[in-house]
Amino acid sequence: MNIHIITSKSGVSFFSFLLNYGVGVKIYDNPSVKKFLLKDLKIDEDYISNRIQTLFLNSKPIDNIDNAFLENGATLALSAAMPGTAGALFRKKGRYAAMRKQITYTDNIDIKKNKEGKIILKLFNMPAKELAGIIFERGVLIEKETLSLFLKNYNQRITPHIKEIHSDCKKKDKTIFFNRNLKAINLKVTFS
Amino acid sequence: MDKILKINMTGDAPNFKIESLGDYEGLGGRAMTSAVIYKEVPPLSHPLSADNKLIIAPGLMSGSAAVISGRLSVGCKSPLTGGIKEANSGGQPSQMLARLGYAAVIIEGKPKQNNLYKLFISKDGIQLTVDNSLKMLGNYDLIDKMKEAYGDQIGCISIGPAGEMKMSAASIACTDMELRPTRHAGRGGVGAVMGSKGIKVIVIDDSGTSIRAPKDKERFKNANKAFAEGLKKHPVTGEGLAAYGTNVLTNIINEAGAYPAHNFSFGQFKGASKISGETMAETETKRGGLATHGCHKGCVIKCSGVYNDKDGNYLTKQPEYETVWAHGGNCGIDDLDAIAMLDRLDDDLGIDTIEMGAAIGVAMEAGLLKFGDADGAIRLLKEEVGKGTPLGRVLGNGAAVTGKVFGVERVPVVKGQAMPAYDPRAVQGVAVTYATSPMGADHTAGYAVGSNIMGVGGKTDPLKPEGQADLSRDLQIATAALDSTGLCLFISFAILDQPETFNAMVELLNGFLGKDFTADDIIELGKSVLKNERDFNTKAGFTSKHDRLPEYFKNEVLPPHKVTFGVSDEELDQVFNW
Ligand code: SF4
Repeated sequence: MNIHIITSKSGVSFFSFLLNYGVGVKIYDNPSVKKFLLKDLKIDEDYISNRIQTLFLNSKPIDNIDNAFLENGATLALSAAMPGTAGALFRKKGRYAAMRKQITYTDNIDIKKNKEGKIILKLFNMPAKELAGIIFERGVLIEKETLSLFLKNYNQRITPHIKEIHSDCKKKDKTIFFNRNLKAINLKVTFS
Repeated sequence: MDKILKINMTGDAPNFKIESLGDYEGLGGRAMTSAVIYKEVPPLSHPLSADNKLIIAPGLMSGSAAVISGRLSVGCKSPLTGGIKEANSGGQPSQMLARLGYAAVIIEGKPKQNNLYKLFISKDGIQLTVDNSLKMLGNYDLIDKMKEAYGDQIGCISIGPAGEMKMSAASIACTDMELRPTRHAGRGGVGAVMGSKGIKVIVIDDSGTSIRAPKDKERFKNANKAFAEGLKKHPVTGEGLAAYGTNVLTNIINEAGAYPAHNFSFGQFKGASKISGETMAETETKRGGLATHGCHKGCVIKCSGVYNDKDGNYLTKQPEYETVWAHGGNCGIDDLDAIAMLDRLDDDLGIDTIEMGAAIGVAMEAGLLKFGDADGAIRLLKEEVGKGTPLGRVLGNGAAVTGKVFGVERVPVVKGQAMPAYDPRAVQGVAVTYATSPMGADHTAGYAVGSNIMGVGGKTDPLKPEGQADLSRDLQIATAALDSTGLCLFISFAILDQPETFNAMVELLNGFLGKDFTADDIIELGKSVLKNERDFNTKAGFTSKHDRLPEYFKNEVLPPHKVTFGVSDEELDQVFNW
């Protein structure tokens, strides 16, 4: 099912919760992480270089986003710089990268080539809040379990922010989104 | 800070004297505690004997206007590790003791009778009185009583029932700005040593004192401004920590596959997002608590918060990442309210959250409870540890003792102290610090605190595959130095990334002390602290064999990365080869 929600501007930030758990995003032709962020998600280059300091591909910290490639079923996670020694050593190209070398993403990982695929995209902390707008505008796939957790937590707080809901291009009653029987959905959120 | 308060608890009538600094002139925080232990505590003494000493020392700049400088060091020979210990705490007491002029309070000897004392320190003098009505009070009730007796302009350093029962995981509580006993010198059983000295609480009243003046006013003022600005402009110290607290790490470490779940059996925990910093901040705000709060006046980072229960009533301060992990993912618990309750109970009983969570994790491994049993964990803490039942005393003596009693092999300790929230197989550089720190497994012992700017150990190539021993050494030296200043370790990212903020920090110290320290002097300070600590441990019987992780980390493969700990013993032995 495709659902398009139009919210108030501040309403979008509630959806950042979904990004912590992971959302499904389509990929084409095994893009590099850099290309995916820049061209597909349309994230500003400066933001990618400066704000996104910690990245994991299939749980492996990435130092070089030009040489890390996405394949169908991969999980990509993005975060700002994090505190403490752990934060320092997981940072891309950080001085302490050697301290986690055993799990670092290396360029020579073989990937399965696909024309089209789907990855799980996770965003944490500040990037989740700051990028929620552009990611939900693009549209993402939300699994049933994540959706029900979201609705349980945000049902009441988000309702006043929702202006309109469309399902498969038809305007619908707001309650359609809060239906507990919803399975996985393609969700698009914009604000007006 | 020009004097030391020495309390001698020996005999029927404990007494005190005030001494000049003597050999300890110019020392603060960890440099002070470790120097006194090294010089005055017999290394082979029993930690709970009259020979051990408890040293409470404000950082060098505590009590001044220097931002974020109110950290307190508490040192002794540790009942948990048998080696030297420095446990560090936030809260108000460091500033207050420093303003009263005390560079250290040293408690020595042991009372003859089973009396419990309270110590009152103000500008008008010292009172040491027996007050057995305080026996077995939890920290929260105890502080309420102190407020009734002394008013609300005080600061307190206290122990709960765990300290009185001399449990090896007992902590020492320091009150925060709201006069709540929420900040703890947690690690190594320092609370048990305070308990063995028969002191329940130290009440500090600094009224009538003034802020400590810097030697060079202008230099200090300018540096303080630049330092504060540097902290505020950095995304970690100015934004991330304030918004989400240290628990912002839960999602990241979990994603990295380095989050020790179910007593270090897995590298990821399914319920991590439910207990993450993002979820916690959201919960706190929704319930009228605070997602951003300082643990003491003058903190500009404010990584703490206030956690309210479902009805909006205060439950505890914002639990830190280590606590959320220890009681959460480590025990398979994904319920934030249960974790907050466990944090509250730990603070009230006066027990280290990491050690307690690790001990419960080991007990779960032994089959005492099922992983994920939040009610069971609360019951263990409240009914067993809190009441001092035989089972409670086993748990309260930490993960190593619990493992021995229940015959568990997977016990995550080094030198008897439980590991914090980073699996050593996934982040092997941190594991080098766990293994070699004189403190036992400790994540703060090798903090990423600007060793690059100091140039400790020369220029190490960050992406060079070897060199984990070099990096760990650099970090341990830099941390030991910082722990002596009173500055909070969380300034690390700003001074790591911004040379101007690092320079402002050095200038701040110089302006305050009227000195011209260079980065080299700071390295030397860090080295001398570590040297004292290593030498003490050697004399206490520690050898390189103690600088090792438990064997199972070399044999058991950690999912999802399928890694084992691979740093060689030879490399570990290089850490202190400077
Ligand atoms: S950053 Fe956090 S721990 Fe450090 S002084 Fe501030 S509130 Fe306390």
